[in-house]
Amino acid sequence: MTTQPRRRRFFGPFPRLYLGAAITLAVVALAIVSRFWTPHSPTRLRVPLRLKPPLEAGLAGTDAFGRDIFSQLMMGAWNSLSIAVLAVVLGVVVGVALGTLAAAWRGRWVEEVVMRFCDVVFSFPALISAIMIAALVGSGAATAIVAIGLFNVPVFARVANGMAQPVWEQAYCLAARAAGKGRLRITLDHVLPNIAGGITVQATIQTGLAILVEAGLSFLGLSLAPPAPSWGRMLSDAQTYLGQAPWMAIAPGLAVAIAVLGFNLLGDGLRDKLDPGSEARA
Amino acid sequence: MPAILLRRLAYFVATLLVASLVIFVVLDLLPGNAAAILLGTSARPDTIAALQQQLGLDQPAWWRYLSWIRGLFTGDLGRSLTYGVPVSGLMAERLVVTIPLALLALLVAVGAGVPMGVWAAARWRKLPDHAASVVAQMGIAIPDFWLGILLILFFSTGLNWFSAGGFPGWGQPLAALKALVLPALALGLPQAAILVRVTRASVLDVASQDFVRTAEAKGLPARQVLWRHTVRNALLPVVTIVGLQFSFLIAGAVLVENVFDLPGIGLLAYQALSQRDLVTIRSVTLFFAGLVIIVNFLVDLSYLWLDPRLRARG
Repeated sequence: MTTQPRRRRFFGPFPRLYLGAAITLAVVALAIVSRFWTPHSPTRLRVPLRLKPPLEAGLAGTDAFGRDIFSQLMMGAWNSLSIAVLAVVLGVVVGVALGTLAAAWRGRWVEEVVMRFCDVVFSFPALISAIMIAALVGSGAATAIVAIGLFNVPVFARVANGMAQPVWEQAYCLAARAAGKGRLRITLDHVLPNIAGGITVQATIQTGLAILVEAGLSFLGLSLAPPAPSWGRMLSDAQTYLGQAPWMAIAPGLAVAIAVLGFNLLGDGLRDKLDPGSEARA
Repeated sequence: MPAILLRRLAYFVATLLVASLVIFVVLDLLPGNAAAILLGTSARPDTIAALQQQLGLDQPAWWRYLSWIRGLFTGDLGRSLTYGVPVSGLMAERLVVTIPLALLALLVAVGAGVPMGVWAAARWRKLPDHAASVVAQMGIAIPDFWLGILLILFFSTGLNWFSAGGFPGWGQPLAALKALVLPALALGLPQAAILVRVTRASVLDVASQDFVRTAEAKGLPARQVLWRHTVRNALLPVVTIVGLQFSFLIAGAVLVENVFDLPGIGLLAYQALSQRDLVTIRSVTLFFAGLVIIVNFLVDLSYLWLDPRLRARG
């Protein structure tokens, strides 16, 4: 249990990294291509072709209105990814700012306020924030982005704070302080570059999670409004036709799972590469 | 020791208060006039005023907030705007579905996740370990509500073993329990995947410590080293995660209850939202947030109890 045999290497030294990168790139590529081209129109209704199984009409079959499911999945990838990425960017920007500030003024009221704020925000699961925001301003992409982004703020604040604290102990930070640099300057010049790698890893993993949450929100109708295709709503629509058209329920869920898997593997792989000792801990 | 307990208790109460204030501001102050929202744009001013009075909206905001908080203790959370019945009763009758569901799901998560994690760690970097990490990666990536749909597809539509949804009520205990099986699997299995990873990492962590090496060196059978010395010590972080998962399971119920059409608190949150029943939403969201806060507090306390070093540090 304690000796370390050489690990088998299917995909070079970082199997998860390459597999994750390949899956993620494929999903991102499909999403981008969908902006210019899809096999069929994802929104055109073709009643004669309704509820056709995969390969009989299109790669993944058609839905109850004869819309091509694979084309909808491609557009759905764009919608889902853009909401997830924007939400994570929101979380990174606000969270990292708060976390590094708390680390810069460690032991002062700033840290206390930031951490208590995180406790409060963290107590609202993204789904619950989304319900609150939707009750206030209605549902839509912005509601989903803000709800998922808010949930990510304390995640990144805590991670950034945790990573920034040891940086402040480093000799070069002490030297910079001795040289008269302000805390903000040191945060920008020394702390941020040093934690950027770790934040990237976390952001990759959180993007996967955000895709998962977005699917849930659009399943409940709290995210992007129809007719914009979305994986979650495709699943919700599929429920009515489970007996007749099971592919309607299988394809979108598979799309979510593959996308999330890609980002998770990519994040884990990046961590393995940046911090080789972390594998056993992960 | 009492000082740090008091400090944690103060944080706990403050977090709850701030969370309730946030909910009040978002769902009561910001939306403006709930009576006007409820009655629609064509309502006459005197009708709105009458309803306002009936709902207590003619009172100042601070008074409404305080009476809501007081209601949390007395059980009077106001009347649902759409059902016209007391919100507390509504929530209670939904919780008797959601809490058993969450407990069953937790049972699934622990029952599947912990043994698999121990097994993976015991066969580190052998086939079971790789298999477990593949299963865990997939489990984390699969949305619980999609798993629910797949389970319906397979066991209800396909094999016809379970009904596809609905809840017969606890008057028929066996049928009720049966109605919760698939939803509990859908909720619990993705959480099991997380537990596989946590358990595996924790067991590996403990396995590299000196006392385990000592136990191995003095010739104890491997099985005894694993279960009595390693797993026992490795379960502490696992228990923490399980505690946190309980609150996530309750929140995840919003989706899974929707898939299985179970009349639980998650479905209530969703229905209240689609009917813009702000009075109900406000107490239901506080329930969800409060649960997370309470569980976090208990986890914090358990740390203090389990790890004496934290007590000293404060």
